[in-house]
Amino acid sequence: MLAETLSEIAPLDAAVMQVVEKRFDNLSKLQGSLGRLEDMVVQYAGIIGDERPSIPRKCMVLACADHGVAKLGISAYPVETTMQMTRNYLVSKGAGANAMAKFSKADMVVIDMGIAGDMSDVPGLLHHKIAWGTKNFTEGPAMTRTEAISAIETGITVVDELVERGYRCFSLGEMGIGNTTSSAAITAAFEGLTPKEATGRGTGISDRRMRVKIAAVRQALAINNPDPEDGIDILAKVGGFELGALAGVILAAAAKRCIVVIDGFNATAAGLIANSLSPLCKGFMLASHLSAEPAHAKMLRVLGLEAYIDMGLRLGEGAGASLAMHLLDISIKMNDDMVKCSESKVL
Amino acid sequence: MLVDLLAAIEPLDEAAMDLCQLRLDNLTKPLGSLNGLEYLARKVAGVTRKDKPRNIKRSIILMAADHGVAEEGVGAFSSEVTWRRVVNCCHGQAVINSFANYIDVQLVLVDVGIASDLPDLPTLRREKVRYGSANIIKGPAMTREETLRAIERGICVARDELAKGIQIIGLGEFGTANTTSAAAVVACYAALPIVKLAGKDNDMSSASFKHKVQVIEQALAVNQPDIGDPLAVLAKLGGLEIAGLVGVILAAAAGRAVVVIDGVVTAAAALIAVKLAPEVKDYLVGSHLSCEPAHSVALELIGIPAYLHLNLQLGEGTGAALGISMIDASLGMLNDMKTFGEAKVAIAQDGPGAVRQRLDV
Repeated sequence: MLAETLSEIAPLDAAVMQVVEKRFDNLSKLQGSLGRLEDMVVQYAGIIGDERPSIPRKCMVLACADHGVAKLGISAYPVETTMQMTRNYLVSKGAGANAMAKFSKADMVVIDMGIAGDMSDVPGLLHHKIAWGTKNFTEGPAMTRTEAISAIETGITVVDELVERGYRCFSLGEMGIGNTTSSAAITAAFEGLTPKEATGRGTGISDRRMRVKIAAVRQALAINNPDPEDGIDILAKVGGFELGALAGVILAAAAKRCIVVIDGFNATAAGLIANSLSPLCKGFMLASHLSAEPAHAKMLRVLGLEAYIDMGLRLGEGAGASLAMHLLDISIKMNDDMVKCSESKVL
Repeated sequence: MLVDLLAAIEPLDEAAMDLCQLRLDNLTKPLGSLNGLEYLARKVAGVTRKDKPRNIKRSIILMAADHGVAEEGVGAFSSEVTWRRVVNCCHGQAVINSFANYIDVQLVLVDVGIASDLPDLPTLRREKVRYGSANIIKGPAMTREETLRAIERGICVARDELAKGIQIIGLGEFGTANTTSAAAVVACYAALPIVKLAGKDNDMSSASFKHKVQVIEQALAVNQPDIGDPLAVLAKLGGLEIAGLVGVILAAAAGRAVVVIDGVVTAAAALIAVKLAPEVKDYLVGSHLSCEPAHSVALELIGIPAYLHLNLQLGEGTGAALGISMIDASLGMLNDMKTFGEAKVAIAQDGPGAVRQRLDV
């Protein structure tokens, strides 16, 4: 299934993009440019192959899983938080993801990719648990290669079904205590950063836990020695189930000609994995914000993406992606209104 | 009128902001992890005196005027005269109409100094003080008396909005060549050479850019504004719509509304307003950061952040509309998220969150 998805990913439609660019050039000559909002529409038009797209149906895909490394105490929150927050998304509906999905008029699907607890009673949760959390990657690989591929394919399956239901725009959300440690290791493995350069404060940890976290990243890389040329190897050795699923979401979105809005540090780590499997999928990614995690800027540069929003966000959960989705909608509507106006010009 | 208004601007409501902050700290997220959105929610709480503000009514006020300096050929868009864009907007065909429809915000269009008589337009508010300002490289843009009149028109327009219950006002403008005036105003307060302040419009050649820089330098040399007198800076280098916006900002702050800045022209107006009454700063919110260098300099001088890196060059309140969206998102967060106690989620056990988060909020 993964191979098939990868083979379906094709470049954007350059001819359609040119039509939209030209339309904006005319506006720029007369009044002024809308800068990067124009780029958003051009990208989306090139993805769906329509020079006058309508506002897409949007869905946040929120993947949740636990990390064995969390038991080292590298987060400000206890391990049970992954379970409690997943319930929060679907039962209390009081998380940042809920508020921001509502703001951006997106629906939301929540996937249990590997939460370390029984979640069978949670209504609406998509049950794709691969294991009860990954293994502690400071002692060996986080998961097997088969599990890594299975995580990616789960993301693909979920998106394929959402596309059937008419969704054309996805935002990435994740929940997993310990996952910024995993993303730091992924980034260090791909980009050759030192553990110190790749690691940030995540949920807001003290200096003491920060030292433990950096040491965990260093140890994970040393013991596993992931192959920087093999994204699946990196995912298996130092990744997480939810990050694999998000990589699958990106790849499936690209294969099915949908736009996928990258969120913060963790979602971008998933972006690096997807990119390593299919560099073409970059064209389908839209960066949202610049995270407060220090390595995020470098990751976006590697992907050739530029963030639109700088608000010091560091939540994940698709919060920044939701803001960018809103900007995308406004831009798409503006493009449509411009065509309408040129058809009924008063002056 | 102006003196009373300046005296009426009060500080933000600290008690409301503290209560708001307590809730923000205890929503189910790592402490401070929605940083900029939390800052915006807290500011709206302080302005509106409500710890959990919601359903705030908002509008965008667009001030239009012409600039004598346009005859120097300093803008890349001189072919599109101010009135044409205003008429376009009145007919609902400008980009800002599209944005305003999407985010559901009312537009208020004001002619405070367009250089010609406009056709009959039901949605245009006529507050013309004079037919365009004078060319600032030859002398002052307008008299002090005209400046005060334009400010007062802005005050009246804003007060009408406040009377409708509006508590967030976005700023926008139309005015060919007004980025030149705005850069000249900002230059008075910035310790930077003009070449580092003037903006390079789309497709502007290096020769026209050089010319724009010279025009601004000459305007400063000819007018010699006293920076201790913000009204003099405004009268000599500004423009009628900039003065009108100053009035809007002051009245909004006095009437406890949040003011959302757009690009460099509205930022220049905000800078003058802050120079007239420093308390105004607390009511101001930045939105986007344009390519005009004087824009970020003005925001730094005021001391407020901007969030959106979009290279917008359009004006007409488009960036302010997006800034209003960011406030909408922040209030969505404040109202739709639950606390650790409400959602039964564990609080932080390490870092600053462990000190500030509680289960009983």
